[in-house]
Amino acid sequence: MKKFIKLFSLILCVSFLFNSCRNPAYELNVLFDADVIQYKATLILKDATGKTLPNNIAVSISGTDAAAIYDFSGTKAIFAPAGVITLGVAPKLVPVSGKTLSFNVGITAPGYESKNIPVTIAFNQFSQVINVTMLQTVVNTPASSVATKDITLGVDGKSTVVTSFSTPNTGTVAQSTTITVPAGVQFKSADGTILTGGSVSAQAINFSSASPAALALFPGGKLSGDNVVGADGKTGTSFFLPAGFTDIQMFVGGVEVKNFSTPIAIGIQLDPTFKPQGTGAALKAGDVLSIYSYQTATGQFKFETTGIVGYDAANKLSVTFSTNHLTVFIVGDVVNTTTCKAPKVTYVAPWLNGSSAPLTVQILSADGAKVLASNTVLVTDGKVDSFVGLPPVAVKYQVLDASNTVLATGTIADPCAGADIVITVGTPANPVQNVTLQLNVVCPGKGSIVVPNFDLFYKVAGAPNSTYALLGTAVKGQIKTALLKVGSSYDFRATWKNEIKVVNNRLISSIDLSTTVDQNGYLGDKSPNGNKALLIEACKTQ
Amino acid sequence: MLMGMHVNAQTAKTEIDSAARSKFYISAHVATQGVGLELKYAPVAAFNVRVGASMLPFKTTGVYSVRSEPTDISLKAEFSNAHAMFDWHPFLKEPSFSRKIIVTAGAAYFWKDRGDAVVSYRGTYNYGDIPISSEELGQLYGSVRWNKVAPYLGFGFENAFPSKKFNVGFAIGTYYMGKPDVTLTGTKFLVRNNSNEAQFRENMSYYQFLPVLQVNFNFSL
Repeated sequence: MKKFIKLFSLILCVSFLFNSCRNPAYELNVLFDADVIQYKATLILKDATGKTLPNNIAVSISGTDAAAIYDFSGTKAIFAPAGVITLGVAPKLVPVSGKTLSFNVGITAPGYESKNIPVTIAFNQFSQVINVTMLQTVVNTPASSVATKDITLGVDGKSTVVTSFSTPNTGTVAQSTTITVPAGVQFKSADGTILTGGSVSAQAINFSSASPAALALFPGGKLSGDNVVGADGKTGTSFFLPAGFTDIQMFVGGVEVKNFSTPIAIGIQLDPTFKPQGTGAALKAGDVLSIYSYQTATGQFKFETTGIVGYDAANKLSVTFSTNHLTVFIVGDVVNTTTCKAPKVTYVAPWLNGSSAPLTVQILSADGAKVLASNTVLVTDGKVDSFVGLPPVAVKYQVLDASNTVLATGTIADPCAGADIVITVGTPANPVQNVTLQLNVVCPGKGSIVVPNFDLFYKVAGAPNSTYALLGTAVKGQIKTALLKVGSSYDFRATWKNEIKVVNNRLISSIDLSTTVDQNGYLGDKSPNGNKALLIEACKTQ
Repeated sequence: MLMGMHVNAQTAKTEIDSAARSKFYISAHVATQGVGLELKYAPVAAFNVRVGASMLPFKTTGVYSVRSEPTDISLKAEFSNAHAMFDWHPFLKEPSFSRKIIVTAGAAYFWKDRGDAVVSYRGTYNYGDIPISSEELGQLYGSVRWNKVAPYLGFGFENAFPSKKFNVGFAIGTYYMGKPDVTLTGTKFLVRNNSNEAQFRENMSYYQFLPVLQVNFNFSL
């Protein structure tokens, strides 16, 4: 009897133990999808002359939908490690059908012209790449030339003599800007205070609007503006066709001059190949062009006046006008695009086979002579995008790969008509390999985690840092690309928050490369201890 | 626990002979497997046959930590079965309390044998400075299904010769439910947790027995 009770007690205890010895949640790790931010915009900053950008780049977000914009890492503070700004839209504030987000990205760096980049993110426009060219204020580039001048002031803050100075003609910049400051002019700060001091430090940057490189230096980084006050006083969107533009800045004792007590004269030499929209013929004396100003702080273009084209003392076509304030001045034609409907573009590239490739999409004038817009598009087969902000005039388009090989070309009769466009991207001449890179991360005490999305840049192993180019966005740790070749070695660079991670001289040994980073396993070849510390720190936020 | 039952079971007296005893009983029970009714037929004192049904509608919510993450877990279990049991009084001739011991074997058909859990993150998750509410994060849905037919083995204490119209019995045993079918799916930002399904299945594979603690309230007919 006692044996019987013991036996049954044992059986039942075992059954209870079976039901309690394993927590149902044992080894379960709640994984939050790192793909929190669905909409992103990547701004890639580059020095106009290829120089390395400083580390202390300051980024600010302003404008209508600034509240929706975060660093891609989820912080309100925006970072620019290695000159890469990656922005994301908060999940609750994403664009919806009929509601496009608009905001401005302010970029300042010591010794560089400040930038105010308008960005729009439309419904289903999940990713975009914006190239931003940073211009050192006192350095000539292939598309710009700089002149500086000290203007002597009297004790009353008035200029003592007539001062005139011009930007130089260089091998690539054939036009110049001339500034003439009469005697007796007082210089005012933004709040209207008359500035006094020994002298005014003046500088002018003249841009060669005929140069394709000048496109990236145009205010806002593109020829379209979404905050343009026209001649009728109404604010809307417009497309600029510049015949010339210049940026003039003056400082007294480090305080920026914004206004003058009496106007100063500005003469801007014009691109002789420019064809006014009104005539369609080559620019000539007597043509009338619009003059707009641009304020970097607000990102707003504003109609100032019109100018009659004439010949200056150097016998070059130019427009001369007077102004009582300082800013960027643009001379040319301006086409209102407020009622434009952007065409939807579908890329067909079956050779990508699930991979992505950053391709350059250029919009050219109908005769192909001028680049009107240039964007990097991370193309996948079937990707849908739109050509936003183009003028209602016939244009050409072309799609280029990294080696500037034209993969597609075509025409658009009216880019404002909203017609659907299908672009079939030709297969590059070189054999295409679709290489997959997969990064898995095991967090200490948490197991495998979902790797946050990040942009990955690459260059040929050992090449200068200035040759880093966008490889694509790693989604959930995976990137599939047509840009890498099996058997070649590359340097890779990723940015996240304010951190830069570099993996040098990595051989692409097979078409599928998978790496698992683990505290107790692989931690990289170069600095495993540093990577371990980085891993532990990063895992705290997972 | 077994000792406690032992004490309770000793309170009953069994002093009538087998010829005078009732052969049919209706029994209500309250058990860990639910509440239910049974009809019992005892053709001879040493053996009973019971057929009946039990139902367990069970819902609960609680706060649990899954690894280090605070979560709200809503559990819903439904066990409804029809069963047939055979009781044997192996020590009926013993003079002591042990004569009340019954050994039970049987089987049940579960027309409901499922457990569902909904797991949601408790509070607000911050992705950097972006607050994401529990609703926005999504939920994890876990579902467990066992075999429809499950054998039962157990023992209990019951008077084979009840002197009164009403008597109380106890049973303790377990159903063998087999390895359950398990699914685990996540929604929204938790969709990647589908990869946890294999681990969850492994964890739930330990839950092959449905233990039963049962109190019977018997009425002789």
